[in-house]
Amino acid sequence: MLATRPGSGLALLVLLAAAGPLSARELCQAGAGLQREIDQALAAAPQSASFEERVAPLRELREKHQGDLFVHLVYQDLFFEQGIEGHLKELMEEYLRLQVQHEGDPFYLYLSGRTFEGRGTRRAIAILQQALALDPGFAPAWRTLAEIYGSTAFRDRGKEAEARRRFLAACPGSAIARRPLPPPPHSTFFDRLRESRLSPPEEEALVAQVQAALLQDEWRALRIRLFDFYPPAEQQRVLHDLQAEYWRAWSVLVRHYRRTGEKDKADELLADMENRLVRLGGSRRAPTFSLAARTVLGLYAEAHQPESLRAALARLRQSLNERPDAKRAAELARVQAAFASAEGGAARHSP
Amino acid sequence: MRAVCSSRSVNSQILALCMVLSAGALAQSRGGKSNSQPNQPNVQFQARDPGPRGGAASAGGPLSGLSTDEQNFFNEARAVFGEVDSVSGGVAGEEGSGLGPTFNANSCAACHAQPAMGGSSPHPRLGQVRVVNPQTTFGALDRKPGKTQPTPSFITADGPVREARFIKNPDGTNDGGVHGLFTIAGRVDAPAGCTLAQPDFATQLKNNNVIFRIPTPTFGLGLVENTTDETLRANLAATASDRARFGIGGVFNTTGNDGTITRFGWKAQNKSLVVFAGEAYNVEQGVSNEVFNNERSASAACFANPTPEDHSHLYNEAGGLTGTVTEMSGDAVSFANFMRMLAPPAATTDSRSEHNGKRLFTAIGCALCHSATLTTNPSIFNGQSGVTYHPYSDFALHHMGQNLADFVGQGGAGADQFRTAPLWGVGQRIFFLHDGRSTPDNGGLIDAINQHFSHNSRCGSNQTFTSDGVACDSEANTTVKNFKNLDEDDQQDILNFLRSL
Repeated sequence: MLATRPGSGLALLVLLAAAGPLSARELCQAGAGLQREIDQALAAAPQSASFEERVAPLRELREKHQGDLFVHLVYQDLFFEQGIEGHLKELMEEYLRLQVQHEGDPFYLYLSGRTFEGRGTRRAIAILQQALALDPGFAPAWRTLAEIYGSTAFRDRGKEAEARRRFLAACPGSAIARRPLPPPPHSTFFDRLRESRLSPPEEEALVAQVQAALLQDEWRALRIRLFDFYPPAEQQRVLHDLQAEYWRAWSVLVRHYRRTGEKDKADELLADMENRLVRLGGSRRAPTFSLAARTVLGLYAEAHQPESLRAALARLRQSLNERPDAKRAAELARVQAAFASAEGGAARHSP
Repeated sequence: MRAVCSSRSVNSQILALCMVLSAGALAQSRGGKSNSQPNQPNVQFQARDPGPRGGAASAGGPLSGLSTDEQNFFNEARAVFGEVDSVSGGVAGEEGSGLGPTFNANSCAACHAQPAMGGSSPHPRLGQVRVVNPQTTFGALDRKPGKTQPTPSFITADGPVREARFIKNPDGTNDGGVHGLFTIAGRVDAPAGCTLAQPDFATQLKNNNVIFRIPTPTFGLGLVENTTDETLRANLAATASDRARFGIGGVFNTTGNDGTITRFGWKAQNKSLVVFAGEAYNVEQGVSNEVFNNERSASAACFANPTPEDHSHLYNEAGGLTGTVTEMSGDAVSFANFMRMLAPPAATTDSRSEHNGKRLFTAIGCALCHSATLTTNPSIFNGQSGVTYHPYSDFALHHMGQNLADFVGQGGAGADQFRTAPLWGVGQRIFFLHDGRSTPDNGGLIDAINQHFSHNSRCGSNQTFTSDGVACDSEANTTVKNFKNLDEDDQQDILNFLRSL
């Protein structure tokens, strides 16, 4: 069965006429010539190109090699690695259309199921099993099942071993991908800052550095939220880390502006931070409330601005009076205690 | 009353009311004017809107009679109503997620602000909540350097919060939909490939293709929601003959799904508070939700989050499977619960002037649409069954004619049909009418009353509607004439009464 890409009825005949049969080798790995074309398409757009610019050469290649599995896989992987929700949704819809057009063909059933991998993984498993019901020897489906059952969120060692065995029987020596793909790295900017390891050029371009670090972690948080390979607790944690990063980033900038004599900028940013902090006081989702309060009050304290500190505390208390929240009140009491001396005029606390 | 019943008054329809009211109203209409000086000639006196009532906010708290648990439920839901959204919830101080791709605001409370959370547009110098129009800040909020978006010309610091709708599509077909004032493109948390531009409002304004809507206050809406169709129909039927004499029609907007009355929104287009909240969350903030599930923009490169962005929660914030209603519900449901338990505005009608204004309000025909009293059905909430409340609305649609027509159809509401705007809380409102055209700068309530009048001189003598379904004459014309025929003192009494609501 692996010598040709199996399918059913008319759909198979149409496809075979269009693309010709695929050999076992073509279901296990791309031929050398095709791989060269894939590499060229991947390199056609620079790293800085937009998603659309990067996907265009692969789309062209897919038009040229419509029946080749690996062109489809590389095309899909670009969406998985660099697409956001809208792109991923478009990908799903595109392959659902192809599945409908090629009803009963395990090749397109498989490709459609694969678009759900990590996005609706249980549905992906169901579709892959449908493909295997049509062709129990369809190696790519076994490979993807092995990926899924080997992932943290869907780990099933027995099923993974069976899928791996079935795949390797058809494609000896072939690799199974690691899913999920690792998310973009967490920015180490703030860690380095805490260790005073900013290089002179980085200090020169501090604002841009802060912004780049935040963008990198926004992207990381976004990626993790898009895939069900990451459990809800991890998604929450990454989001919380990102929110905390904003408070650290702003405090870095306030200090930077103070250091460079840009008092107006420092005051403006700190006022904005205070407004956000007051809003947090009335929000049910505010795990960073304590950090935010310590950051804002600390910035007032270290600049010897006890009146501003007292005014900020008064606003927080008023906000809590308007929207009573015992947990938030306790957090505020602890923060207030930490700043008791600074509130009286001396700046002794610098978080 | 003297003027409206004088020989100048050609309106025989209100003669009966004049006869009934003349003795009492004439005796009292001279007393208690807050704006006239005693013992001085009144020839220069002109009625004017006293402006938004000062003092404490007349609304914003929970319904009276709720249990402690229900009040806690209200407080939690209110916190959700106040949350600020960013694209994916990462930006500090903006922990809600789902903003955009297009949006008019980043929080319910930003626009539903005056005189308290749940209300309507704030003003920087008037009212209880003195802040600039929040929509003047969103073009710069959380933007990357050089990526600010301009604030459309119809949004000003001391003007009303507005949404913009286009009347027609470029191909001439009906549009009517909301076009967000801002997009997330250029925000610090927008996906890298999102370049969605703002609509070209300047061109659309030039083509007279834009209409506006302002936020409706949400106080007391739980009582409205819990009023049966039968009650509303009976209330409308009770004034049928009087309305006919005044040239006032009135029909309910209904849902095509089950035929029942829809009652929320400027055109009574929304059936329930959940639908109302779900629509607003999607349209105003761009947050897809369980009621309105799809993003409105066609730009895939700006869709950052799985849909619906707001949804019921399987896990609470600590990762457990249980939690309070608010923890586990989607935001749209919490918004609805907040509105459902939000008390109606407390009127302060007290002075002789205000009481006289109240009588005149009825006498000249205002109360035929702005009807005072309704009663709730048995309620799931403590103390809310069989509650008599005073919305000053019949919640029916009325043809307002060319002057107010916005040429947007919603459900059964046509080009010039609007729900009778509830007047409870009007005492502390800043902007009036669906598009906020009546402002403190142009007379406020006086302008709003005058804007109710409309006569299309291009209509033939027997013509009642134009080809686009707009009435040749507003249903309010007779009542507005009656108001203008009152002497200035009596007009002032009505204005004072309205500002006591």
